[in-house]
Amino acid sequence: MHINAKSNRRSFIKKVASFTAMLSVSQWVDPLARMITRISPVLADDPRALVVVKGSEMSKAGMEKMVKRGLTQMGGLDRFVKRGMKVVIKPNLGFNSSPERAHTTHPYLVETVAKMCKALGAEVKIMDRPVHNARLVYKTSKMVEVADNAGVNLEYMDGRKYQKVNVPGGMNLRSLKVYKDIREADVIINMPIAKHHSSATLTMAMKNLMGVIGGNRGIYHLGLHKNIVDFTKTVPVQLVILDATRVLTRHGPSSGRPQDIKHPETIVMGVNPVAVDAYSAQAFFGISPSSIDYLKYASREGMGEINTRNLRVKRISV
Amino acid sequence: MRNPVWSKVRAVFQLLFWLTFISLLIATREPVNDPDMYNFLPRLSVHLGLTHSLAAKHIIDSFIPALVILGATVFLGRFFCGWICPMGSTIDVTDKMVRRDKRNVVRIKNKKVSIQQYKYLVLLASTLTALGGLQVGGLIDPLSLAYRTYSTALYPYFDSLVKNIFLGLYYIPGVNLVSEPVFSLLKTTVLDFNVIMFYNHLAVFGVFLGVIIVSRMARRFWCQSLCPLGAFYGLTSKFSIFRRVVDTDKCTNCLACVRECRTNAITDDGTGTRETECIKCFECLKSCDYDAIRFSLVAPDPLGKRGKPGKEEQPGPLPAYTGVPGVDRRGFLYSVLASAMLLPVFKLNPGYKASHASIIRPPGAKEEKDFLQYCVRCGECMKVCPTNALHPTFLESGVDGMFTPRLIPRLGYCEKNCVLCSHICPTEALTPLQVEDKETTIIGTAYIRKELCIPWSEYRDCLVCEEVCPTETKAIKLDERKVINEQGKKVTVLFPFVVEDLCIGCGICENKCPVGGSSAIVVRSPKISSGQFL
Repeated sequence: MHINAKSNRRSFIKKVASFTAMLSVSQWVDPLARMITRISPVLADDPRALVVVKGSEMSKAGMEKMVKRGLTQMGGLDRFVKRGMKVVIKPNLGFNSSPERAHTTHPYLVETVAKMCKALGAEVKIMDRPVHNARLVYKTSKMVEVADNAGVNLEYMDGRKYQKVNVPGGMNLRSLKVYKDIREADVIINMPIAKHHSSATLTMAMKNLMGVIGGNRGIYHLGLHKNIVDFTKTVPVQLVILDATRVLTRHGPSSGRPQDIKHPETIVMGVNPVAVDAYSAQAFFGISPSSIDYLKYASREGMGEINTRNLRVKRISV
Repeated sequence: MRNPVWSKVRAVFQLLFWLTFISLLIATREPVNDPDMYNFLPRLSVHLGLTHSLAAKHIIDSFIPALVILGATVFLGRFFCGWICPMGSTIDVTDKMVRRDKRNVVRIKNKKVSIQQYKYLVLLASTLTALGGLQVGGLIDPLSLAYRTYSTALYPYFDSLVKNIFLGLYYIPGVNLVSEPVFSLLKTTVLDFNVIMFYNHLAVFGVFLGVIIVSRMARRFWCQSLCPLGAFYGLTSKFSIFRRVVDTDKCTNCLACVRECRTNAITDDGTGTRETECIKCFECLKSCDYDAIRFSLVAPDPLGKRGKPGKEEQPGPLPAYTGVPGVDRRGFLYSVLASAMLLPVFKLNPGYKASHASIIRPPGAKEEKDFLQYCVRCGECMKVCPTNALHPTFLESGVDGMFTPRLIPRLGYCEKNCVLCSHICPTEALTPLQVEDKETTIIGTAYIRKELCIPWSEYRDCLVCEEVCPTETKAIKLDERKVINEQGKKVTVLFPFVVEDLCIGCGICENKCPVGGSSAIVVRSPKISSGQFL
């Protein structure tokens, strides 16, 4: 430092400018570092952003890699799940069918996510309210094994624990009964499987939320599409991981022959269930999202983007 | 000296056998890895084996365990009744409530009435009706009766009571922190995972209650006087070599043992024993102050040539050592007559006419007429059904179909990936199936009641039935039509209809139909039976 150095206007401006520049750069250091390592750090914040992971082998290790790579693209699971948080993983376990029948979310995917959440120090529960007997379903869909392997809880849903909740701006419903653990959860990870569904056209992330709703669900099939929108409004989901490793294209959601099952070997991640559903409908079934009523309603209600051209899709292969 | 040791040993074994019975009964639920172990109890009844083989005209090898018991009875007497039979153990306990004064003899106007011969007539009637193709044996056999009552009435009562208590505790803050973990532990062990409830449980319980209440007349009245299995083992006990022997030098004829004997097996002077009645409970050892009684190996004496029977009070004739005890020609004739009357009363069953049959049998069931002859009404299939879909009938399938299993879809559907009932069945009433067979096993056919169905009557989409239909290509199809609804708007509605050739009658559509009360889609008995056509 020159003690005698003159402090003129020019040098002052220079100093201020360089200081400001340094400040602004330092603000970007962390995101830049993330961007370098993870390519796209802001995906997790953008409701229109999706990560689509195409796998090569459908083994346990292969699926684990798919989930891990995808979540890294999303900015890391630690963006969503922090130590001590209550996490609910909601797969689609509607029917008493083994994984290869493509009615239920693949157990390897659920296991990977459950293990990762557990490793982050979260308190993890896996749950669904099946159409068939829960005990049979959890066993046949291999969720009992998943819970054992990952060391997490498998919740058999209890009729006493549904709580009445008002539907904010409901289209068709004023109130719903939502499961207590869902209401108390810090993070809900929705893990649907994409499959054909007779009355909903397709069941994916939004329809999957019916599994945390209580009461007589048969009656929710009247005006189903509007009800699905109301479920999505009532149950806030932080992360969606959609299983399209195999998809049932006909006779869903509870039957189908082997030839009705396609194998896209893909998973789709996003933070917005509407966007995930819109993309998946187009990509795996060739169905235009706007032809599905509940997506159309959701878009109209401003709940998410259903025009696939406006989605920011990050595709990776593993 | 009183010797209570052996009666205590018996009591411990009795409790152990009862607990085994209860544990097996509770464990008779999904998953069942070894059905032959869980359905062991009904197969111990030689009476069921006999009536079943006669009624079905088919020797059934699953009753081999009964032959083992029968073989043991030849040596040990009616030990089965005193040590193993769950009905006997239950009666031992309930007798303490209904017959407090321990009276073991029926007296009318202070005269002893002999009752012990009637069980042979029951056995005879049960055998004769079985020959006529009527399975009455299953209704009155103690093992069938015990299993049926415990599984469809007593266990659900217990289950419901405990659940209701814990459901109440759930709402008390603080207490629920303790009660909930206990409850979840109970739910995975002694309670049922689901709510279990059986249609006609009161009828089942009524028969059981009757068996217990008759003890008002004398202790173990059922075992002494009515039980056909007891009669069977009584007959073989005559060859028993393990007998009660009284030392007449020590015996003071105090008659303590006569009063204490649960089945009135001791002659009135206290020295003789009716081998056909003695259930080897060893209560007499406990009662004797003079050490005059022992049980030891004695050469069998079926014709009673050796030794004299003890003295009897008049008029109790009980010619205990000649032929079938107490059965005279008149009784025999009555029994034959009763059987001859029972046959037409039971067998004139409108359910035999296929077009009239209205109830749905479990998958793998034989044709109705054969099914009624094979089924021993034990209730194993109802207990094991994971969806609580099988219920005992009362009179719905005719008198001879009483307490046979019936699928009530509105209460529970037949799970497509499940074949447990067909494997647990101790007889061949249900043919064992594989899961793959279920796609072609037709137990009924669904039809839509358009006046209730939401799309058909209100022109609104519903489609729950189609959604849940488990057949590979869906037996319920949808017909898309444009209609004008009540607001006068033109709408497109999907109308469900059933393709009968694809429907297997599992009943999940009826079960899940959101229409209140009676379902808008109903399963009736099948138009065709499985395997009838190519």
